[in-house]
Amino acid sequence: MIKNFIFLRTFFLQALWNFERLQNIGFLYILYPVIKSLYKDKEERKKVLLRHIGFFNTNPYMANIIIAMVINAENNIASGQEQNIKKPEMIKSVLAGPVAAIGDSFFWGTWRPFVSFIAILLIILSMNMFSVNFLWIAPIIFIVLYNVVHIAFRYWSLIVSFRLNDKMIKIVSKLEIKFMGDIFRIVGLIIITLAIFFYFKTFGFVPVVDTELHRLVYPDVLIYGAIFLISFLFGRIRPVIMFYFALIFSFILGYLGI
Amino acid sequence: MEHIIIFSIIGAVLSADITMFGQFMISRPIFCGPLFGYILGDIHTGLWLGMIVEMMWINAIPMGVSVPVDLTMMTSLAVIWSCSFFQGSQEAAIFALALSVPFAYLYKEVDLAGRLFNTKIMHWVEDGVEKGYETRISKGIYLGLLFFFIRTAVMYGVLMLLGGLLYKAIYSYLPVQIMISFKKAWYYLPVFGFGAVLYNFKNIKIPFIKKQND
Repeated sequence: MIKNFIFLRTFFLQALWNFERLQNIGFLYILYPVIKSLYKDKEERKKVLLRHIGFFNTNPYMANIIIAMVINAENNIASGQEQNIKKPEMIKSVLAGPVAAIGDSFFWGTWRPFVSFIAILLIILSMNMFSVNFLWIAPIIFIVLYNVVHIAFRYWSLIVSFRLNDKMIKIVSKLEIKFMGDIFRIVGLIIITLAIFFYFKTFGFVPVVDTELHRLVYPDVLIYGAIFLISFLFGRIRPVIMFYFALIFSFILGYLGI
Repeated sequence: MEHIIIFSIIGAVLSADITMFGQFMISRPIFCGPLFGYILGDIHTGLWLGMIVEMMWINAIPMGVSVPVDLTMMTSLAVIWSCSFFQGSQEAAIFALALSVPFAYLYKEVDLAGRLFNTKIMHWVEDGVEKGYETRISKGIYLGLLFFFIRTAVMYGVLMLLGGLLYKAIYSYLPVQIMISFKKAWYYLPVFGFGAVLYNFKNIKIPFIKKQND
């Protein structure tokens, strides 16, 4: 029961995100019910709480591993099994960076773009093949697919870390997250290539009648190809610059009557 | 635009997902765009604008101390303005997006100031813990969320109203040539987005081949 309560609290990890110590109060908020139950003496509890008020920052999806291990360490310190009172701080400082790197790379660098690509393909397909009545499917699939993996991982990592403690690190390292990331990137590349194909097929060859302005606008597949090449070659440019460049490019083409 | 208060609340809830609570990705343009589009009866425009922003800003994620531009506000404002004033018009939708981008960057500055204020709340909590006021831990968390919610909702409301009036006024005076350009941009921007997305794959490694090499 307490584990589920802690799990719900983990969603507040960044609620008081600040530039000085980042997730420190969020971490303390998650830990507080456990510390309160372990230390009945207020002065003793104060010392423990102040130990956890220092800098803390990691990927919020991976934080549950650290949270569970720190709670286990605090349990051991309170019961006298562990003498080193600095162990919880050591767990936090040693693990925060490595697990954040895994989380950032997999969840935000791979899984989120992957699910976005599926949604983008669905949007284009629903305009090309399916009825527009199915347009709502893409965002729903995006949210459901993303969160099935995200929430399941957060819950699993918390519960298993409580049970396995230090051994959880070995489990995470054996998950082959980098390998899975590479697989998702390749499948993602295939999906986005399909999206580009259907986009060009749908909008690249058919002249579009602009009923409002009473004239024809011809989206040309050759122009699309040129735009695609420009944006790919200058992919390092900041998105906001690319966005306004795209608008200026459209003005020039519009002015030239292309 | 009669639903400004409700939209401000929805917008603030969606924006909270970026950093403050959960990270369920309801803040991503591909979800919040169609959501506002659906509410306003034009899911097509919401999806299209959401898809453009999602692809062009595909790498915008809050990592470490970096605070990215609020894509939720960018997409939501564009969808709300275009669907409220010129529903179904592609050129009006692109113009709304062009206008919402600077507002989203303006909001980023407000967000930065808010996060600096969080440091003060954090010190207030720390001070409380030292004095034995442990309830400040929970209060600090709820205050952080409350201040975020208030400042974001107010920003949404002000920008929806004043930005919306500005948008409507400027759009009425746009020459036909510019409108044609926006119409073209409706189809060109996703292609720019595709290029930006594919750029991320330039260093892709094929795992099975790599395994053999190892």
